[in-house]
Amino acid sequence: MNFKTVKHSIPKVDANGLMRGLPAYTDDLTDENALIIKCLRSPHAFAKIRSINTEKALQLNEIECILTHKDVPRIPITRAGQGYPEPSPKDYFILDEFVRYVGDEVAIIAGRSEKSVQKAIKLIEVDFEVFEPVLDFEKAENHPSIIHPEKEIYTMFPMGLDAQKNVACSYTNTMIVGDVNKTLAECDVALNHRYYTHAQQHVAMEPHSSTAYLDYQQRLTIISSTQNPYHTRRIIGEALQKPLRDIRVIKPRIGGGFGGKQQIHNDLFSAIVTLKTGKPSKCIYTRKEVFESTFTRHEMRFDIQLGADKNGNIHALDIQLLSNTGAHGEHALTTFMVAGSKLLPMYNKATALRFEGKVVYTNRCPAGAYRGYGAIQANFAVESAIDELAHKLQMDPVELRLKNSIKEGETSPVFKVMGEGGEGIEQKMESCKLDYCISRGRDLIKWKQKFPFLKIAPNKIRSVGTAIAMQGSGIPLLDMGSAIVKLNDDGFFNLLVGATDIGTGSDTILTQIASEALDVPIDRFVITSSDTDVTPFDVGAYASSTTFVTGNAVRKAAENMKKKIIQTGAKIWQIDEKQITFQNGILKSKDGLKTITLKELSEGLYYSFAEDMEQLIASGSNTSPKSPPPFMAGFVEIELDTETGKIDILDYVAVVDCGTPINPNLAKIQVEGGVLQGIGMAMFEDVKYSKNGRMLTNNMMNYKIPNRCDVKKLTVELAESYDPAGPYGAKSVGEIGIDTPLAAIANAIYNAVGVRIRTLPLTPEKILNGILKNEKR
Amino acid sequence: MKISLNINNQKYDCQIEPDETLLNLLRKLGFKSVKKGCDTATCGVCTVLLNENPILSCSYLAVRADGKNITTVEGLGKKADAIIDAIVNEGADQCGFCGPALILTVYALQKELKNPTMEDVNRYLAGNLCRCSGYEGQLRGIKKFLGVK
Amino acid sequence: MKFKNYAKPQNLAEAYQILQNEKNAVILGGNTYLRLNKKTFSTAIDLENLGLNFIKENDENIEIGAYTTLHEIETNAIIKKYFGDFFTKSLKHIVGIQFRNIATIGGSICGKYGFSELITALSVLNCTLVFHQNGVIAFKDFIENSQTKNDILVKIIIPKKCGRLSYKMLRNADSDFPILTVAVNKNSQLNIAIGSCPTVAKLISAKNELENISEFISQNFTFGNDLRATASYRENIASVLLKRALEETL
Repeated sequence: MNFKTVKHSIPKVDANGLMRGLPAYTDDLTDENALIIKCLRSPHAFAKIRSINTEKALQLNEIECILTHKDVPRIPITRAGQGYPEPSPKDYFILDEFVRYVGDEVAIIAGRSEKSVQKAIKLIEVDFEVFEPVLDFEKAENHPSIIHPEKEIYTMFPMGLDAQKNVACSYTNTMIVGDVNKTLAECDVALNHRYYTHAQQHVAMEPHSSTAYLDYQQRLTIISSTQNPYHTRRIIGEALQKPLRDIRVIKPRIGGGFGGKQQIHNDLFSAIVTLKTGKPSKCIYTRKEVFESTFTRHEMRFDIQLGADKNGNIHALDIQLLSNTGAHGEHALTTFMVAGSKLLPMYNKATALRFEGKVVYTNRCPAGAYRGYGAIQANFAVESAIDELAHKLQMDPVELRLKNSIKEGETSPVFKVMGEGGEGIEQKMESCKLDYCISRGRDLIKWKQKFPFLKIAPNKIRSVGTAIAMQGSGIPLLDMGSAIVKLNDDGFFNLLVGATDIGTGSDTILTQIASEALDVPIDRFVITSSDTDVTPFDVGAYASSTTFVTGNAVRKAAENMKKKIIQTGAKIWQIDEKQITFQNGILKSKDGLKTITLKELSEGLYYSFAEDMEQLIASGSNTSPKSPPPFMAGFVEIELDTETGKIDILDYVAVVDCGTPINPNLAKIQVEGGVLQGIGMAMFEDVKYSKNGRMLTNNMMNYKIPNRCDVKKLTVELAESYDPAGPYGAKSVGEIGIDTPLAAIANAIYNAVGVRIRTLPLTPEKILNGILKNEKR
Repeated sequence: MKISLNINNQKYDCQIEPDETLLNLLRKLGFKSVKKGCDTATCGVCTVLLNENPILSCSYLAVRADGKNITTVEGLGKKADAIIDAIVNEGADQCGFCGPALILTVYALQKELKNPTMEDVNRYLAGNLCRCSGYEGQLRGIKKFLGVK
Repeated sequence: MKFKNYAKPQNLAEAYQILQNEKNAVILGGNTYLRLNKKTFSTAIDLENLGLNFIKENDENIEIGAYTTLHEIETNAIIKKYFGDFFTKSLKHIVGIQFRNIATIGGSICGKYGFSELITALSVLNCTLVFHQNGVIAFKDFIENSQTKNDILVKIIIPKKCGRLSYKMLRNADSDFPILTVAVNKNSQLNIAIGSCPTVAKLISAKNELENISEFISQNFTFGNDLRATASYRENIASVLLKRALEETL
C-alpha cells in the first residue's frame, strides 16, 4: 500500500529541541523558588511507627512543612495508574503508621533549600516497633507477619485479595480448557519443571520527578514525569479528596518510562505539600530513591507441565504461577494474568490448557508495571520448556515452534476466557506473520549452519538459541484514546491528544497519522499532548496501546476534519460536497474552476467570511474490541567460554510482525531497545537484597544496565504485515522486543554446553557450575 | 566562594558553595542540557567538555572550573548540527535525556580519534548510557557521520 | 562527600601543612569515588597547581605524577612504548571516557579499592611510590600496610625494564566492576597479582615455572563472596585467568 506520510521514517517532531538540551523535562521546568521535598525513609523492612517527633526539625530555618501519617488523609488507594474501576487492591495510604519495605516513606519534609531539608530529616525522631519481615515470596502465604493488617483495604471487584494470608490476589478454576491431567497422561512425551524469573528495574535515565503549584485561581497544577496524566489526576483527586476540576496534570517531555512511570510516584507528595503550604514545590528523586522506593518487575515462579505426542504435536500446557508483588499490589492481578493471556494463545493447537496461581505480598520494593509485564516472565518459562520438549523429542526447536504456533486466520479459546484483569474477548488473527518471522530469523542467524553449536577453539563454543513471543495492542474495550484537530488561521492545525509520548515517538507517529488521514503535509501540524486542561482523554502510554488505540482516534479526528473542510468549501462555493476534493492541503472543485488553499480558507473562516465565519474543529475517539497481537521471533548467537562460563552476545536477530510500521525507524528502535533491556535482564540485571531486606543494588554501580559494548550486534527486521483493525494496518511494537532474550539465551547456553538454567539471571557462575556438574557425571 | 569561568565562550562570575558540583552550577545558570541521571558517576548524562575533553560534571567540583572553559551542547551551536542530524535521522534520539551528552561526546571523539574503528567508537562512547535505543540506531547514525567502515 | 573549605595550595609544603593542621582534611583526586563518601570534611585540598600531572621518562624509569588522569595513562605514547596495551586493557572498561578524564592515578592508588584494576596492573611492575613526607615506599608495602596516613602521594615510579606482561580480567557486564583481575610480569621471576578477590589486589612473586596453578592460587590467595560472585567461583576462574596470562607471557 502506498502512503504519503505513514510508513515513512521521518525524524521525531521533538528531536531537535531535545538534542539541543532545551528545557523540556520536569526538573527543567520547576519554579526556582519551589520548595524542595525529600522523604524520611524506613530503615526497616517491616515496622510500625510507635511515635514520631518532628519538633526539632520544624524549628530549623527554611523548613516549611513536615507531614507524617497523622497529617494526611487516610484514604486507601492504588497507585497503579490503570483504568477504572482499578484491577489492583486499594492497599496504599499516602503515609501510614506501618512501613513495609526499606525505603518506604515515614515522613514528607519540604523546605527552602536542599541542605536544610537534609538536616531536618536527621532531626526527626522515630520510635519503630520492628517486625519480622516477609522477604521470601515462597514463604509469604500464611506467614506469621501480616503485611497489610489494616481493615480499610479493599478491591473494586473480586480478585481473591486475602490480606490476612498475605495474598494480594488469586486466580483459579477459570482458565481451564480441556482436561489437562488426562491429556498430559496420554502424551508420549511430557515434562514438568520449575522456573524462576527475578525482579528487574526500569532505569529510565530521567529519575521520577514532579513539581506542583497553585495557579492564580488556586487550582493545583502538577507537572509530572507520568505515563498517564488522566489516571494521575483521578488518583490524586481520590487521595486528597479534591474534585478533579481543581486539578491539572501536565506531562512535559519524559526521560523514559518503560512502565516505571505508569504508577503514581512522588506526584502525591508535591501535590500535598503545595496544598498545605500554598507554595510551589518539587520532588525529584535521587537514583537511590528510584531504585529503592519506586517499583520493580514482579519476581515469579512457574511450574510448567508440557506434553506432546511423538510427532511433536503439543497437546497440553499447564502453568501454575506464584508472583511477588512486594509491599503493595499495583498491577498484581493484571501482570499475573498477562503471563497467561499473552502466551497461551501462541500454542493454540494444544487442546488442554490450564493457568492458575497466586500473587503474594512481601516486604520488598513494590512491584509494578514494566514493559512486557507478565509476558516476559512466562516467555522465559514456557519458551525454555518448549526447547526442553524439543530436546526430549529429538526435534529441532525451530521446527517444533513452526509446527505448533498460531497462524493467520486462526484463533485460541484463551482470548475469550482471560484478558487483563477479567474476561477477555474472542478474536481471530487477521494478521499473523509469526511463521514468516521464525523462518526469516532462522535464515538471518544461519541456524542450519550453526545449530546446535560450533566449537571454534578449545575453550570457545558458539551456539544459537531461539524463542518466540506475542503481545497485544492495548486492552480491548478498556483502553480509550481521543484526539482533537483544530484549524488555525495561516492554515495550520493543532493536533491535541491525551496520549503520552515518553520518548517512544508517539507524538511523531500520531502526527504522521493525522497528516495521512487529512492529506495535509506534516509540517502543517503542531502537536500538543498530555495536559488534562487542554488535551482530550487518553488512558496513557501503557499496554502497547498508543499507536493502535490513539492512532485510530487521530485518524478519525483527521477524517472528520477533512469532511468539515469539504463542507465549508461546499458552503462558500455553493456547490455540492461531492464536487469538491481536498488533496495535499488544497481544496478544489472537481471542474477545476475553484481553488482555495488552507491559508486562504482559514483567513476567510476567521476574518472575512461574514456569516460563514466558524472555528473548524474535529474530534475522534477510539476503543477497540480487538487487540491484535504483534508477534516476534528472536534468535541469538552466543560465544561461550567453557572455562569461565562467560557468554558474549554476538548477534541478536529479531523479526517482528507489528503490522504496518507507521514510522519504520522508530518501530525498529522500539524493538532494538526492548531486546537490549531483555538481554540485560537475562544476563546481569538483578535486584538483590541483604538478609534483612535492604536493597543492595540501589545504585547504577551495582545494578548494571547494558552499555554499548555489551552486545556485538542487533539485527532487527520488520515483517510485511497489515492488520485491518489498526490505523493504516498498524499493530503495537512498544513491548514485544523485550520478551524473547531470556529464553533464547538460556536455550543457546543449553545448545552450547548442555546446561539448562531455570533460574534467572544467566550468570557465568551458574553456567560454569553447570559445566562442572556435567563433567562429574 | 567566588569563581569566574567561561561557559560556551561567555564569562560567568559565580557565587558558589565550596563543595558544589559543576553539574549543579550549570543547571542553576540555566544550562538545562546538562542532566542528572545517577548519584554515582555512572550514567554519563551530565557530560560536558572541559577544555574540549568530556568529563562528568556530577563529579567535577564547580570550584575546580575556575578560570577554565566549559562547553555544553548549547555552546556547540551549528557544530552540533551534523551530529544531531545523524542521530535523529535514525530515530535514535528517543526520550532525548541522554542526547545532549552523547552529542558532546561524539564531538569530542571526532577531535580526539583519528580514523577510529567501530570498536574504538563504541569504547569511546561506552560511558554514555541510554536505556531507550539499544544503541544500535545511535551507532548507525554515528557510523555514517564519522564515515567509519 | 561534603566539605566546608576548599584549599588550593601553591606548593607541597603548604598542602602538607593544611593536612597536618586540620583533623579532618582530605586530598582531592578526581573526586569520582571520593564523592560517594558520606563524610563531611573540614577542608578539601586541591593539588592542581602543584604540577603533579605528568608522565616522564628517564634512563631507568617512567614517572607518573599523582594527578595524571586514567585517560592520559591509557593514551600516553611513552607508556604504550614500554608496556604495550597492558595499561589500556586494565583501564578501558572503567565507566567511560568522561570518568577516566577526571579520575587520577593517585586517587586510584590511595583509595585502595578492591575493584581497582589499575592496582592489579601496577602491582606486578615493581613500582615505588614517592610521598611528600615518607619518601619512597614500595608499591606492595603501601597496598598491604599503609603507614602514610596524612601524607601526600607525589608520583609513581615504574621501572622501564619489565618482563613479558599480561593482564586478564573477567566481568559480567562490560562496565561493571570486575569479578576478578589477574596481572603477570614474567622476568627472572614471576610477579603475579590477583585483584577483585573482591578485596584489593595481592602480589605474589614466584619462581619462573608454576608447577600447579590451582594449588599456587589456593595457597597464596583468599577469595570472598560479594554481589558479583562467590568465593569458589572466583577461585575457579583465578586458575583459568592465570593460566591464560601465563600462556601469554611464554
